[in-house]
Amino acid sequence: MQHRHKNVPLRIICIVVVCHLLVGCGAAVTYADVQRTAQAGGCWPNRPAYPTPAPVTVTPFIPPTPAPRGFVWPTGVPSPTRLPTTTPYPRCPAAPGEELAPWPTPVPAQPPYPTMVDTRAGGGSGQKTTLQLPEVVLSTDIAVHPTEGWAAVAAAVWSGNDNPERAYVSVLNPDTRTWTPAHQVDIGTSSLGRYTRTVEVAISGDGVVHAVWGMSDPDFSDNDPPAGVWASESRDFGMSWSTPQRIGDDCRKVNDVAATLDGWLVVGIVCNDGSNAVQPAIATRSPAGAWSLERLPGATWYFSDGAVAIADDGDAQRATVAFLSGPNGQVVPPPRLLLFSTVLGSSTPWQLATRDIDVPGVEEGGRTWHARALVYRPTGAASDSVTLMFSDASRWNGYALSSQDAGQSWLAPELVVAPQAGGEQIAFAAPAYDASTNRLAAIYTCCSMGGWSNAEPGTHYLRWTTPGSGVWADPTPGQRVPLILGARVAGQTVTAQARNARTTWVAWIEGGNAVEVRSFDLATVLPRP
Amino acid sequence: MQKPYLIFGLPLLALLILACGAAGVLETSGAPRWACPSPTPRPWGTTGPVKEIITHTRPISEGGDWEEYIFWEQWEQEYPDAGGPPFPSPTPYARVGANYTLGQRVEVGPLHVTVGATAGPVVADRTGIPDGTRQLYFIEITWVNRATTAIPINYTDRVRLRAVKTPGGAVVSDSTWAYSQTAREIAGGAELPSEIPPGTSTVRVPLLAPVGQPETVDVIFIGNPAAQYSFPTVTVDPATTVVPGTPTVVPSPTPAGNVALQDLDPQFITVQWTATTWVPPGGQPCGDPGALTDWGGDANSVWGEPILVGGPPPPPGADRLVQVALAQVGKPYVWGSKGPNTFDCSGLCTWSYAQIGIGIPNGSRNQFATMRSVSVSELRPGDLIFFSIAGTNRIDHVGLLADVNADGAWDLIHAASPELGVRVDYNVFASAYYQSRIRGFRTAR
Repeated sequence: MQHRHKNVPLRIICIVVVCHLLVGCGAAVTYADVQRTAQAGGCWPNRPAYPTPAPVTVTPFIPPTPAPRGFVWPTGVPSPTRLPTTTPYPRCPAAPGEELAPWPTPVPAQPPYPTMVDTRAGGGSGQKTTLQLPEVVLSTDIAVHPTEGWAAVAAAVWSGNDNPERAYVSVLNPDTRTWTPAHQVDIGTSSLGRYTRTVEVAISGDGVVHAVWGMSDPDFSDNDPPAGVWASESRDFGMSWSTPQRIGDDCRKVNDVAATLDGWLVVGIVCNDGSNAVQPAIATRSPAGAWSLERLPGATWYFSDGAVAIADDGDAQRATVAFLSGPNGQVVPPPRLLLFSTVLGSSTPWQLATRDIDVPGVEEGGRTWHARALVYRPTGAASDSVTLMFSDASRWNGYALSSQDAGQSWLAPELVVAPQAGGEQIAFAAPAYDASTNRLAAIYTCCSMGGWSNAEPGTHYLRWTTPGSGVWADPTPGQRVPLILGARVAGQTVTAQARNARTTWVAWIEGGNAVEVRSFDLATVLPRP
Repeated sequence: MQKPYLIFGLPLLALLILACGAAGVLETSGAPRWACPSPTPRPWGTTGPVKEIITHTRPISEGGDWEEYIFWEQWEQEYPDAGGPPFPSPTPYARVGANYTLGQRVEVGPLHVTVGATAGPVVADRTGIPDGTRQLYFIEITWVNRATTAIPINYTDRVRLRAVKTPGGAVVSDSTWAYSQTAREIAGGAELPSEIPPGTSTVRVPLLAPVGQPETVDVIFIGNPAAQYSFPTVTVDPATTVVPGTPTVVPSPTPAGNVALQDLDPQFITVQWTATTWVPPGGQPCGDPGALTDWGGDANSVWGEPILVGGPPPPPGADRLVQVALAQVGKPYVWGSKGPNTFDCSGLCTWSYAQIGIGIPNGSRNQFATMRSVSVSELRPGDLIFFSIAGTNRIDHVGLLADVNADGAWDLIHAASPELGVRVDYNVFASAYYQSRIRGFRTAR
């Protein structure tokens, strides 16, 4: 009995040639190169960058007792003979002096915490919580009560193959100082569907927590699942929620929601314009509880990000709703901000101002995303200031755009932070303000995106400026020192702060599958004047 | 003032703490993983049937004519219509990660873990618990400990009911629903063991949570790349078994000194089982609870049911390609990203093809410009479909075609946008949105 061996000389030649290609010329090795080497040599080369798929199973069957819910009993008949069904190629033995990389995948060592303890003088936290939600967290938002300073955190969570995504909200009960369990708010017909990524929260002055979410299926022509934006509210710190109310049809993405002391809500939304294009829209809820949705002109695209700020201009509450935009899906440098503003409670229609993100010394380019807004009042100022922060998906820069008159006019856009080396990614930058020193801060992530299943290290850092100066600096001059919040695989990062409060809230997606929430006193990390 | 008890006691205490830490609780050295077993286990290789006998002529002086026995290759038996071997493995579906479905048996080395959950009675007449606010639940865990030693576990710390679905349909999630003495007293029964013995064992963990149905269960492991266990010797018959690369644990290199960065906490790995019916992409639910490791020597091995991959006959490797692409569904879209954790539209295509050993250009416009054009009637799974989302003639989007739900219509696997991530849009040719934006098709065949 004999095995068939075809083209043995050719195989040897192939091995020699491929080995020469792999070793001798120094050219980049492709997966196909490794594949050919494996085919020629009969074993898989030790190339950690090109692993084989996981070995295939032969499993001894052990019926669980009792059968758990969801378990499907196999109907297959036991095979009379045991059969190997493994990857065809065993690993090649280690060459002399070569160390085999671990295989199958070992537990990867996670990046280190940038911390000794998370209450170090250079940062640390007061209140904190962790939402370890079912499945993977896709996005998060945080809001704070405008005067009392307690917080609510929301997360959109992927829920497996056959479940729709879910929107959860957890609230810090100011009476008990405990966080409520995370409650799903998108129940019944308001279910997010499969493709949403947006849930936003706000807290009005009466202590009502508001959640707004939308589903974002781009195939809005089939209405399956139906596109819409929904809102619900909780009057018991997140323990129960009102029946969801549909506040927008044919709208999909909720960018942000802001609330006032007297109960106004303003929501920035991306909607369909009825002809397979998209347009910005703003939903407003009066203190009496009446919702209205206004679709507005302005070229945007279907995943345009944005933020909402409501500021006191000295006479009235002025709302600004920002959309980061490129016209209809095209990225045309420089990126542009659409800034809609009006005075709440007035009959003034939304006024549109556009602002190009054209920063001197920064190469034109990329699409901007991950917007966040903050309202604050410098000592002695006659009106609130507003700062919008966002980042750049190509250059990985962080930017700020500020107004010192509650959004009526805007200063030049500022470059807050830029990567210091190739490959660094600054994906999120969010604002905070220390009234005691009149310093505006940017809390940003660096140096990887921190996405789902991404174990690349990324944590939080901070830069600061005196509002209006346009000059940003590290707390330790010339050094990028981590802000000690406890992140080691930081993803989306959001901030919230009651106006001029000492406490800043930060929430971020950690390691792709948890939402971490921390609060800390910004004055402890900013240099004194 | 001398305090000799401090001098001797503190080091002893420190030693005890270190010893406890070193002993570890529910440590694992391997990433959690699961797979559908081979769909069509048929004998192959020299232990299987003879496929063909070729008679060769040879002078008698050299030994005379001889017969060459040809045996079936594995892929020929498992994928007879594929036209070639799926490269490099005929894996039906494998998954490495932390999220699974109740009933799936997951390997978290050195354990196999099968987790189920049931709802028990609502608690009444219990001091300290308002009537009707709490319900008893049972987490049923079947452990298979392959190691020769027991593994310590504290069920209060290591097992959670992460989420319940309330009667109103909402899911509520918290971190506090764990095994407690109160739950044990209400449920009755003995204390839970403090270790997982070698071999197979089952445990039923009672706990209290709000009224509803169990939704998600967490088992929290400590990841320790250096954890090592002793295993019984398994005799493997080399004539019948191909054992792929034996796991080789290589200690992680000591990180370079960085005084600002210290890792004081253990690495927790939270593996979740959720009450969903999980379907491998492109197939029906796996009929076998899964897990990966071939522990060998088990004559009672059973394999799962065939997994159907619908749609037109794929070219060689295409089903593997489609599986690879579908396995990315749900991952984030990042502009310019080429995988494997994030993708943009062309990056998903390039990366997926690279996994089956085929190099295609980067960038949707490059792909459109350089790959072979193919007509609609010639489309096969894995072919690329190009769009102008902006509605012009400029290519700005690309995805892979497949019949994911086996309904005879082409579905689109693509990295759609930052908000949508990688996803499937079904019946793309019937979509009013996409149909008008299609600009052509390309193939790597």
